[in-house]
Amino acid sequence: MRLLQCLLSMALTALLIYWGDGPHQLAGHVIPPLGRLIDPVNGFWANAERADQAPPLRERPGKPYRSPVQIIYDQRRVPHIFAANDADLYRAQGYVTAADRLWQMEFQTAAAAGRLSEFLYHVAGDKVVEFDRLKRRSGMVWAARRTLEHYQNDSLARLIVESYTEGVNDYIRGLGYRGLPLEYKILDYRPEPWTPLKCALLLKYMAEMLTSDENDLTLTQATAILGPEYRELLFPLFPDTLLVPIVPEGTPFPACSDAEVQRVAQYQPEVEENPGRVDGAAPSARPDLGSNNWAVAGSRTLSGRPILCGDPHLGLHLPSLWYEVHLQAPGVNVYGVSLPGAPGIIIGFNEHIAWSMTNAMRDVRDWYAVRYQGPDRNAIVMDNGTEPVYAVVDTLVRRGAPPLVDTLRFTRWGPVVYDKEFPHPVFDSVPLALRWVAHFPGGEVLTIHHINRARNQAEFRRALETFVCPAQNFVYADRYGHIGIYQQGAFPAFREDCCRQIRNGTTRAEEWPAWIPFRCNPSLEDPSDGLVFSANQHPTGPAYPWVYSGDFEHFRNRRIRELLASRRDWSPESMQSVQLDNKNLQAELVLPLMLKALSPEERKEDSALIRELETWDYMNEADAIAPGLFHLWFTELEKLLWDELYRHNPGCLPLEFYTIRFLQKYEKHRWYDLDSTHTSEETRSDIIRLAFRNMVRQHREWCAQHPGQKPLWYVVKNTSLQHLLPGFTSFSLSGLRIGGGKHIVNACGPRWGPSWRMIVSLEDRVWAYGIYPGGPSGNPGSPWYSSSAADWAAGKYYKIILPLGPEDSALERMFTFMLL
Amino acid sequence: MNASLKRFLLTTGAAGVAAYVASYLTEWWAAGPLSAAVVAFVWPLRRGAFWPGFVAMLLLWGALSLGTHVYTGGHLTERMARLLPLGGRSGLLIFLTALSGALLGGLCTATGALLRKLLNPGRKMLS
Repeated sequence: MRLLQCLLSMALTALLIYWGDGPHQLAGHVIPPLGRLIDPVNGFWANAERADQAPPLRERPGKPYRSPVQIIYDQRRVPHIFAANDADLYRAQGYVTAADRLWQMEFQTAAAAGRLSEFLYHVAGDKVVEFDRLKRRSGMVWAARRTLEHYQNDSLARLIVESYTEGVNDYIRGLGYRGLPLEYKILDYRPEPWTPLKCALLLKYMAEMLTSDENDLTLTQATAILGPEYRELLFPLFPDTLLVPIVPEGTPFPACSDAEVQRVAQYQPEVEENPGRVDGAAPSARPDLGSNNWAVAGSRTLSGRPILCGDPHLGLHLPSLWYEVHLQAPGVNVYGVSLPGAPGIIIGFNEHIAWSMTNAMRDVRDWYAVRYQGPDRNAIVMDNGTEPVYAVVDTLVRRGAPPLVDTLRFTRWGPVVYDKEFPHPVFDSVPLALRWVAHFPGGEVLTIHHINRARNQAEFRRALETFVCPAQNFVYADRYGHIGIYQQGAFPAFREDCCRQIRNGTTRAEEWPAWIPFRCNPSLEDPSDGLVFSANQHPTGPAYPWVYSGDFEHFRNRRIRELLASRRDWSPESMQSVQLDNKNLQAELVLPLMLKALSPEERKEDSALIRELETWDYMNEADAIAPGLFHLWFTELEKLLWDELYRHNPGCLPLEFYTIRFLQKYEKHRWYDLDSTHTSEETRSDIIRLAFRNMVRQHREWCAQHPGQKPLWYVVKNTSLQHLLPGFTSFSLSGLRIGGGKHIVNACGPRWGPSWRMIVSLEDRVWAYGIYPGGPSGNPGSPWYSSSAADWAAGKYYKIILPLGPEDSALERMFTFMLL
Repeated sequence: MNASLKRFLLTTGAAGVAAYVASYLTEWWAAGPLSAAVVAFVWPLRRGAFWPGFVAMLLLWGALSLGTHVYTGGHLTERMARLLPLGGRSGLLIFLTALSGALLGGLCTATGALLRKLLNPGRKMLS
């Protein structure tokens, strides 16, 4: 009896420990290791922090630093790193960044490498496998390895990534369960050693984020549905009006050699005639991400010195995409934001210059339809013969399930992303290989290193020479009075507009004929009107001698130009009003036409809504109602106008600007005819009115569902800072009271927005305003996790004085550490 | 204070200290077996061996979690209480934390006492 009692008691205890020690499935849900997680000493409680608690820098079992490194956290908990050499500087940066953002760094690189299934398959299932397979088949790891090989052959690049890696690993080595970032505890896995490959993967992650919006596939699909006219009208290389390029029209371009031109001129592109069926929904290709940057010369400022502004509009996440940091060592004193996982400062300023970036938006990816020779798929048809395919057996580890074995096939064009083993949702009848500029090795790490140390325009220009992908518009200003803007990246050259459809991958003639020489990339220095700016618009007018395409912006650039040109007394404070400007030029362009189409009956019936729209000043303020009404109405109008496309794939829709141009040009057109009404042929006015009725219906439904609430713009837009893990809503912030929106200078959408607002005054002592949504800590248990989110939403800025050394009185210390 | 209450409090205190030390040195569940060892071999109990461990861990985990909650302003408790999901009720999460520890502690001390009886039935046990 005693034995039985004892065994029963032991069994119950063992069961409790077993349940508490590992994740379990219960009624289709994954239960985290609850016992370990709620242990008040080591579990999630150990991640709860106070604002005055020192950052989690730990004992480092690694080798000593070459010289002592001082780390000072200021009153906003921004780390300032003072080192005696570059190796120590990058090592300390890796160490400090890992202390705040380790889980984010590893998660993002795992996402880039297609390895999320290793950690998340048990909770996310096949969805994450599809995500991983796409990354692997897109050649992300292959591209990162090629870039890393490039780094290994350059002693400086090697020093940068290896030092940073060492710093991250210093932190990981000193980490016990108690100190693990919270997400590791919840998902029950541990960090693995950092490697230089992960630094390269992070850069490919950014390249993918910023260059994968090309519309080759969706445009091929749309053209197949609506005919070539659709492509001509809705996807011209340049708009017929309102073009405000980065380099103003009339600016001379650098000459290119006869040989360069000849090589491109001989190129006769072929397109794939029969890409497959036209139905099915592929991912949307309309870009949401974008950025603004500009600089004004001293002739336009109160101080008589240049001012530079930048606000990259990227995904709004927690932990924040950026990590604010100050790096100082002999030859460098730079402040700004870094990407956790990448050495150096990506956007910022030093004692001499300031810079920021916007995405170039140019198409740098091409899809090739290939034909396998034989069922074993070891070769593809090429001209009159065949060409071998390089096959790699790839094992995808799935947590809690057997591994999945796939074969990655590489052709002369690049990896075969889609084939019968991984079919594209639309073009499933032909294997599609991807050629992408990010597959080519670049020296982006070197670019950042040299920009951080640049002292003048010439050094800045030289620093750009190693930058390949993702192509960016680099705006520049220095305290010596110079401003400039440079579009930099590697761009394939074309003679024809052939780069926006699936191409024939069975002939070598389809090789990209040439690269545009870097010296021919668009740039502008010290223009006479004293301003340079970019907002993802066309880099040039049609006079540029090289053909290019892309999804360019048509509204923000014009508003920025209008505002900047309106004054000659700019100050860092007044520049804030430009970054926060909510003027909706899209509405200004099309709303009068839409209102005019309404009948007197409709105007009478819904007079309150009409009045709201008619009296609107086109400002997308947070507390306005009209922006939401317009957004809803225009969205409904797009759905009706492009019903033939929308039914198949909402991602096929043209840019809003070209839809508006179409509406302006045509009162009658066959595309206005609705598929759903077989008896009548609709006109522009008909579908505008129908869209209006749809809008009114949805507006009333919303009001009925939200009694006592007004459909204010910030409420219906619902700007959120979402945790990187979908479903971790309690680690996210939503419903931020902020205006703006797509195509607005304050480009704040539901899930993307100004991820770092920076205004730099290039005076003798360079200083700045800056803020980003989130905070320095990646720990949801720290008050510093989202410490600046409310100020960011309210349009506030933090003043930043660049400290000249650790003893500088401008540096208000909160914590000090020495790394020895 | 009567002797049996005194013994109970002593045993509970010893189990609590053992569990607290174990938490910093090893796995989360080691707090339980260690307090079981206290009950089994240091102050063996004949009856009600479940309760010293239960009370010790209830107080220990309850106090530690409540202390952390109060000390840090409770923002993480609220976030975790929404994630787990407990409707964002921080108090409930603290209670469940304490109760989980208590169950572990109670089961472990009960097992320890039973094991002790099984292995050394002749030894005099405290009542």
